[in-house]
Amino acid sequence: MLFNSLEFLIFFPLVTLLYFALPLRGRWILLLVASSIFYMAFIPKYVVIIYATIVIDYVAGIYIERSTGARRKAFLVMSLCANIGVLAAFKYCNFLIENVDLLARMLGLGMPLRPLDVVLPIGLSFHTFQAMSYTIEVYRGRQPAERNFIVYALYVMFYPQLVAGPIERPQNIIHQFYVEHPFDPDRVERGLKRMLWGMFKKVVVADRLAVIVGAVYAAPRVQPGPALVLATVCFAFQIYADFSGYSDIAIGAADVMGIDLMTNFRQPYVSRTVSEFWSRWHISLSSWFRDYLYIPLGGNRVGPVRRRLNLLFTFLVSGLWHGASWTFVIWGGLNGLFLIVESLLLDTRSRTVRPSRWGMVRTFALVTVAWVFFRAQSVTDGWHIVRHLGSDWGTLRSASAVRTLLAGAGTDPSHLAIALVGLAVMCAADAWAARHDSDVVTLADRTGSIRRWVTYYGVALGVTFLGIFGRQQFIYFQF
Amino acid sequence: MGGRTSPSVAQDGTELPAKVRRPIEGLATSAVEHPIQTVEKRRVSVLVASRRQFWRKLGLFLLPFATFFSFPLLVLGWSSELLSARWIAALHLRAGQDALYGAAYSNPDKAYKLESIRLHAAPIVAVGTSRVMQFRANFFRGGEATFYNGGGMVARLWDYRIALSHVPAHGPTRYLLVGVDPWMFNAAWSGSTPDAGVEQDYAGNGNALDTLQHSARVYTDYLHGKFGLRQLFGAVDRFGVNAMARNNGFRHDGSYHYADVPADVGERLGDTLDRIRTRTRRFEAGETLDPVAMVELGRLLRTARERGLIPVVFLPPFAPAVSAALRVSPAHGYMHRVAPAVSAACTAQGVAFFDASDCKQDGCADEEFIDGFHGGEKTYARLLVRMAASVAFLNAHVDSAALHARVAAAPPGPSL
Repeated sequence: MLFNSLEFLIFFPLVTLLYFALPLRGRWILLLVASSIFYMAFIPKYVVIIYATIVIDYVAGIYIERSTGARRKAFLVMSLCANIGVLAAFKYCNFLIENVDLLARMLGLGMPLRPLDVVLPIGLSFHTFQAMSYTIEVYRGRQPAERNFIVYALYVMFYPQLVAGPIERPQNIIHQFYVEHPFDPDRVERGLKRMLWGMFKKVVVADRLAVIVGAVYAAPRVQPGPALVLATVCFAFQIYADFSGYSDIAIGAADVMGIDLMTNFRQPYVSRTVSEFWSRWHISLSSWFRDYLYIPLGGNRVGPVRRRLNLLFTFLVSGLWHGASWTFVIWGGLNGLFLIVESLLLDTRSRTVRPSRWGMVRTFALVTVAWVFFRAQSVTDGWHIVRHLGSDWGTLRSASAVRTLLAGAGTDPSHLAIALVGLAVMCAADAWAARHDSDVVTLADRTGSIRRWVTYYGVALGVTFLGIFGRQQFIYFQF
Repeated sequence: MGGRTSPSVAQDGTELPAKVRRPIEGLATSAVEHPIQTVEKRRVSVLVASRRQFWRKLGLFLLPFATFFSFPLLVLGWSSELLSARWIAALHLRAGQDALYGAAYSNPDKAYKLESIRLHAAPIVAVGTSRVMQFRANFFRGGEATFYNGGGMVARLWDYRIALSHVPAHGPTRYLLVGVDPWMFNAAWSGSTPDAGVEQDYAGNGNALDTLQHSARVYTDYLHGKFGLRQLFGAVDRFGVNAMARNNGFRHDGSYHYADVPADVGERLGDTLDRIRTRTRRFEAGETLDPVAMVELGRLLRTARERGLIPVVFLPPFAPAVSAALRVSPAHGYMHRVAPAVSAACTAQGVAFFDASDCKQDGCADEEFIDGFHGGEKTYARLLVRMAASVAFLNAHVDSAALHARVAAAPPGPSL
């Protein structure tokens, strides 16, 4: 079920009202049933897969806690293998087949391999990583094994964050399910406002920009350089508005029910270095990779060469996490390389690379170039786009040339104007929040009542009449 | 509601000491209030007040939206336009043979047709744009058990392959009548590039909120008398405002019922001739064929074969007056190159091809066209007879003599 759908507009208040009407145990069952319905609205049969991994991890958690030594490790490995196995089967199997097939053809071996006819379950990478964080934390002794199956299932299935995160840790969320949160009007109001803001980002900004990005990236070879630049910059903001919008709706929906989810984005485009960007972008995933991959590989405790290799490896894996394609691997690799170069510069200049406004522009440019490969349909498309970003700028000499360019990019001046106004509102709000080191909703609530009502009515009217509720899914659903 | 607090538990969740607890529990019998009781009562009253204020604020915030959307919700909800394509396809299938589905504010046609193809499970299916929608199931032996019209499920050449990838491979559907439009091979046409999000349309991920965004138009249409509430509430076996109010829509067999065809032939053809003159709206000027489109046609035919489907490709008919205008148009040179190129592509893959764009050879006339580029049932019946004469599977499923006789006996106009 999409957050930006009529179904969710009915589902959410209904579940929330029932939630507050029920005692604690009733709430668990309600949330689990609701989460299953939410998930099954996409592809019903895949709920079997998620429940199968839930059962495996639930049992594994208990046995990890009970066991010691090699047995303890064996149960952890079993759980990790089950989760990674599901990921491999649904997400990476065809990638492997395609590459083996390509290699075989290059070597002249006549063994045509056909890709499997499987559809990737929605949000598989998210709930698999969340499940893995549970068994790892139990293994590390930082989280007691959850004995209540329904509560554990809820940890994985909790619908606001089920399909696109934030990827939670058991320490942050499981204990919250044991509290009978009262109906707190302030909290409910705050959550609803956050959901509204997230919806604005999604349907007014992201989905309008998506029209331009989709048209240009569908056939980049027929597009001139200015259109490629326009679409690439639009994609940088589209993916941010889309994903942070989803996170806002998820965090807001959980907040309404009295449950705190972790922050996932902190105005990443105000970052002045790439490393700062990664401390502000998709925080729940970045910290997952830091805690469960980068640090176990040696983290910052090893020598500089090894540390940088670990960093690169972590980002390559992160790229692969996003999608089974070389484009994602390149995207991850580019980000890893940017971080390595940045750390080399910091080392050689004795940390004299001071953050500046120029740093913000440079970071945005670097991150955006990497996004090209994230969005491109193939490596060759991505490379073509990067090489032609500077081409054909001389053709933009008249208003009619600009109109032709926009038409080729699937847009027109009025559509673009609405998208840009939405974008400006989002960026201004983000800059405001970054300046006060707070979030938009908290800051808006500090303003006078008339200004506040005007703001929220403005946002709601924007969502209702300027939003696009057509065919765009949330980008991160595919991961 | 969930904010229930036991009298023995303070608002912050801590248990009260027994001494404090007792007087509160004895609230009903105690004459004098303990200070803790007063604090608790005040807390509860503050909470109740803040909850009341919350509901008041929420109500006030939502009231204008609820007021504005209530009428469109009623209209769109009652007419089934808020339902998903899957639901509509299932409801239409279960409804009577005369049922029509014609939406005015939503556009789930792609997913609706795809789902209907799956549900009907007919061995022969027509696919294409609105220009194949006049093949009727009653042209075939076995009626709907033999044929379903998937016309209207594609808009661009790239859409066919995506649509076919959703038709069950090696399933009940075996034969395809694939109508392709000449402008699909014109690089200057605005639809000559793939539509990035079309996959979502076929997946049926339409959004009812998208339909609700047409709410303002629902009001203006109602005020302009385009539909009335009596028409809506009195309609039987009709889904969608267009079907309920205007009797336009897809029939049970997937073909399209046009209720608003003007009687005057000149009026019917005028718009198409105007498009040719102004070189707009599918009739954009073009001299050469788009090589990318030709490659895509080859991929489409291969995909069909790989999925166990046998395609027969055809160029749908233009009204004779329109054909004549295109023949002499200096701006549409590519049109003359389409048939030979498509024919060559089909021959290369062993696929039968029919060029019906100039249907005069079949004996058609302007008066049997709905507009300049949408033939009527009579035109398509003739085309089917012609195809059945040389395609074995069609010959087995079409009683050509009977169909020919029906065409001959039909009254003037597009209908059969």
